[in-house]
Amino acid sequence: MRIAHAPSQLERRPRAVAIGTFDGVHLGHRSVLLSATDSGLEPTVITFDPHPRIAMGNRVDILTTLERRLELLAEAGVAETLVAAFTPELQRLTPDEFIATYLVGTGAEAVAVGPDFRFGQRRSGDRATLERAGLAVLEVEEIEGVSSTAIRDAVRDADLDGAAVMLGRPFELDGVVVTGDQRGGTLGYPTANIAMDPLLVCPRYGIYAGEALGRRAAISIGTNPHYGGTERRIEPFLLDFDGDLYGKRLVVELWERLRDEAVFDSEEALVAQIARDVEATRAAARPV
Amino acid sequence: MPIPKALEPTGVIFADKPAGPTSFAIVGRVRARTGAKTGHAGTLDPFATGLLILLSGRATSLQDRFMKLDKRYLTEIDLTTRTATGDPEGNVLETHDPPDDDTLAGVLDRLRGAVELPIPAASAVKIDGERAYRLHRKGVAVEMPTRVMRVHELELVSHVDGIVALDLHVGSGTYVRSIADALGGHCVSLRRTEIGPFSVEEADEERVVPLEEALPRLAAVRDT
Repeated sequence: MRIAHAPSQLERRPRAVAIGTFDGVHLGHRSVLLSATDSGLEPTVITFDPHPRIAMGNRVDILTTLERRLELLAEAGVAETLVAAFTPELQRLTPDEFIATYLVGTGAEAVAVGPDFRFGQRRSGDRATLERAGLAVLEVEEIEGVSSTAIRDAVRDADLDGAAVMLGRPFELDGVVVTGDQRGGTLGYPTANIAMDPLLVCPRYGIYAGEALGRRAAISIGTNPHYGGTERRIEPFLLDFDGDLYGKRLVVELWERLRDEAVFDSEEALVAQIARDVEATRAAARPV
Repeated sequence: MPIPKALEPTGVIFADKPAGPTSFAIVGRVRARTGAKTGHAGTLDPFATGLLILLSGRATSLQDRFMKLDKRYLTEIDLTTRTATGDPEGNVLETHDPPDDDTLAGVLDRLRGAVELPIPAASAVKIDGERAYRLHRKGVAVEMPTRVMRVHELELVSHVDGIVALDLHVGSGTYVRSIADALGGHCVSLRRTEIGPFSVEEADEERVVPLEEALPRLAAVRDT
């Protein structure tokens, strides 16, 4: 998938353009994308970064990093994505100016958007505005009950099955492995300490089963209360893995919540519990 | 989730677009008949007619192969009126007397070869044109981005009452509307007669030409 950062970087050619923030690239988004990839025209996405609601000063826990969002768009069959910086200049564009620069200027002939799509200054543009401009507004099958907000709520509640059903894949943690407390190794369970973008939604603290790098993983999310920690730590232990992950990006699927974090009477009790967590992780099933 | 469209029949469809519908409307019409994923390889404005190359099924991913080809157009240009879009859709910018034959011959001659011309405001969308029109009325010159366009052949077919008919063979990315504007007029009609090795005379919307038949003809063009 080619990535552009300005409409002038998109060659003018017959395109079907899906427009949206697409945070999470969930089933509702995939339905919009399918209308574009299925159109027969060059399937193109215009997406925005940062998340428009964050740019407007709201607090939004995002579901995917931009990097992951672009990977998922590519997997969905998108040929070219324009990542438009959600700047005050962009927000001031009238709907007509947006259409002229971003759509007609890039050769768009058809557009796919979600049910509540609005664009341009004061969100004054809608589907009818696009149609008046001579663009074909593609039919998009509406997916009931799926929204980024509902997925965020499910993740916070550790409803991983619910989140996975709406995403069409398991919920993922995504970050870079950094130096941690170096404690897991001494317990016999070396974990990778993941630094995650603080804007990303984080599930309820606890111990989870999942997968990373194609291996089962037991994941601790929380403050390590047994050691009196206060900072959030995200630490997967990859089963049957022996390698150096420092500095590498890790995408971790969360499959099942195993238990709450706990304070143990002894380190032996903690190690025994981790052994049980590892067994439960081997038995865990991938949702969806 | 909805079910993706069929990838068969795979091939190329040569259509002769009538004036009125958008290129994508022709795509929709063909897709309704074949049931297959269908795209096209280069748009014609709604008012224009002529050859449109549609790609069906797996051929939709070959858009690149069928773009960037030379094109041949027949056009009638009204030399007395400039419009904001260079076609009948745009608002009138100015009217004037048509040039005499000698002046016209000189202007046409300067348009042959590589010429840098403004990219016209989109025809299908009147927005830019409307804005250009309003600014023009206020006496503000509207700067449109320019592009080097290539006119391989330009033949004067007729010149009657300020309407000139031209037969143009041009490189990819050359806008006939830009040429009309450079002549101080606008396209009254526009018909695409050739795209690379393909002619509008072989247009048959019912027939899906197999890739084994269409692709070698492209290769032959590249080799010459």
